[in-house]
Amino acid sequence: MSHAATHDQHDDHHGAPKGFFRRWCMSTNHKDIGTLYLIFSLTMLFVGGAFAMLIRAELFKPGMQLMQPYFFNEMTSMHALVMIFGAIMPAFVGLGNWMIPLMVGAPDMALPRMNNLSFWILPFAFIMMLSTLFLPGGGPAGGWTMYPPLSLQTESLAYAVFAIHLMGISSIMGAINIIATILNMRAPGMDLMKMPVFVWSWLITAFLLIAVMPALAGAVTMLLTDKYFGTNFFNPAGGGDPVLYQHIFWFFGHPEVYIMILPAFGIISEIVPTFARKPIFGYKAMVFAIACIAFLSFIVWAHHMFAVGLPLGAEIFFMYATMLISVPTGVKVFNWVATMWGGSMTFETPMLFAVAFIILFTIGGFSGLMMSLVPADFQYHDTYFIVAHFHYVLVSGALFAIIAAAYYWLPKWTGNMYSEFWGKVHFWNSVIWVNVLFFPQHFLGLAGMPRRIPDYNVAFANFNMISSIGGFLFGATQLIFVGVVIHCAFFSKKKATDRVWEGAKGLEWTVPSPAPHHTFDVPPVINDDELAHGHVND
Amino acid sequence: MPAMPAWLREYQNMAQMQAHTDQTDGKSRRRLWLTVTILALAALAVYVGTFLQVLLAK
Repeated sequence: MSHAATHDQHDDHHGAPKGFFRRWCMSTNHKDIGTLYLIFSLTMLFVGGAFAMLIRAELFKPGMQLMQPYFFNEMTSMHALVMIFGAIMPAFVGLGNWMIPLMVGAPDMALPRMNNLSFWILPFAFIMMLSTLFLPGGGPAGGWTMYPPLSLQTESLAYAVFAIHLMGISSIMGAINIIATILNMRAPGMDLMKMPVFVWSWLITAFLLIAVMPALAGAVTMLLTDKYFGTNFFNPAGGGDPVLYQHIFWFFGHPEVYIMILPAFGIISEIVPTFARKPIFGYKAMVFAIACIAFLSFIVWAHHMFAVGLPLGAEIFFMYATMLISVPTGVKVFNWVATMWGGSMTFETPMLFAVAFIILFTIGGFSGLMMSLVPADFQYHDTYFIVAHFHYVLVSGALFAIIAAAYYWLPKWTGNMYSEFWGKVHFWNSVIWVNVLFFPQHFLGLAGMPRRIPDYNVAFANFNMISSIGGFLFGATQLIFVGVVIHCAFFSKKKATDRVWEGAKGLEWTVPSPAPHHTFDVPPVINDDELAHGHVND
Repeated sequence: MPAMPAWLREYQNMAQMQAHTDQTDGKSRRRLWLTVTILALAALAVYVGTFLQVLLAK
């Protein structure tokens, strides 16, 4: 760890390229590419957020207010596609790009040029996907799941499929890069069981990506051939089986859920020990719990399909397998709480978001457990209850973890401290309005309001109005985050120290703030006392 | 903790700097490309396997 000073002197003589095009478009530097991913992700968050505002505006009161039903369906479909593939996943890839080499003591990603390509595919994929909104037939409107035969009626299916292929290629290349980096580029002495939990979470996530993204690519390719080349894989009119598509889609789709949450688990496992000033409780259990969740994610896909008419034995198997996931997830939640227990805790903004994550993600987990029950799921299926569930795990779960990570590592990235006051204003507004937005949707779902509809019974009016008000204010609150980030990067006068946080441990805190353009050209010396999780093998 | 198998220990110890350093050697570079090739083939196998699975199911 004491090598930080040595390699920094070494780094002095070659910084970032001077020209804008060379620096950002031709970059092979993991930090610059990580920054690009994060900026792209933030942009997509606001694009997807704008779609969400339109959805909530339409649902503000009963009756058709602002848009035609087809456009509403386009908005629900595009909101999901943009948020999943454009906001959440690239944000985690950006965080991984920035932090994994710093955390394992590597000078860069294993395949820097492929890293550049992985990123630059994404803007083109999303331009193509978003352009469908302006095409004569409109954009995808059959939901992000693109179930046939409905999706086969979409005029722009080819654009959407090609965009998904590009996103998939980008994700797979990114995953290969991350695995190759972690397995081959660790500093000598950084054994697998000494790696930070965030690195472990990304290693396992990358394997999930490689295992399931090609399945999605295969499924949408078959949709394409069904529509344009006369095949009948899924088209019932020609003898195809639409339920088969659902099986393949959810074989991808359920691990995809964990792709969007496992890196969040890793982030929380970094932040909580720092602000509790204690090593993480049960490091090995945390690692094995992530692996266990990843394994179980492959054998639970049909819980998304209980209502299609599965054999009873299959429903019971998928019900119990789904319930089993709560065991390793519970291990993680209890270990975070045990880490905090007896710690010298302080509540800076990253810790506030991390604590909110633990509480609100657990609420989302519990509603998921409710839906794993086959008989109960027949009531909840395709209602606002599921909308509330997955927004609790993806917004107050994954997104809160990403925001926590941004606050946690911003001083390391920019060399400046962000405004703690405005960070806390952002936090309290976010945590209040996200609950005003999504909690009433549980009641709407239990009362029978179906999802993906632009109009509804007047009986649902009050909760929808409350939810929409929460949505508008939650959306507006995220503008504070943009302000905090811009202020921190360009205007903050308060310089960050190298370690930034008193309780922070790990290799990334041994390099200066801001992190030099090149780090660890000389491998660092690993000191077990300086690892965030302490001596794991004692 | 139980003793680590020799092959895994060797794999762990091979963690060496590959890029931007003067420590690159042929062996570690070959291992890097082996890792990448195996992962790429795995992704390809899943893609092809999806078609095979659908064709067999039909």
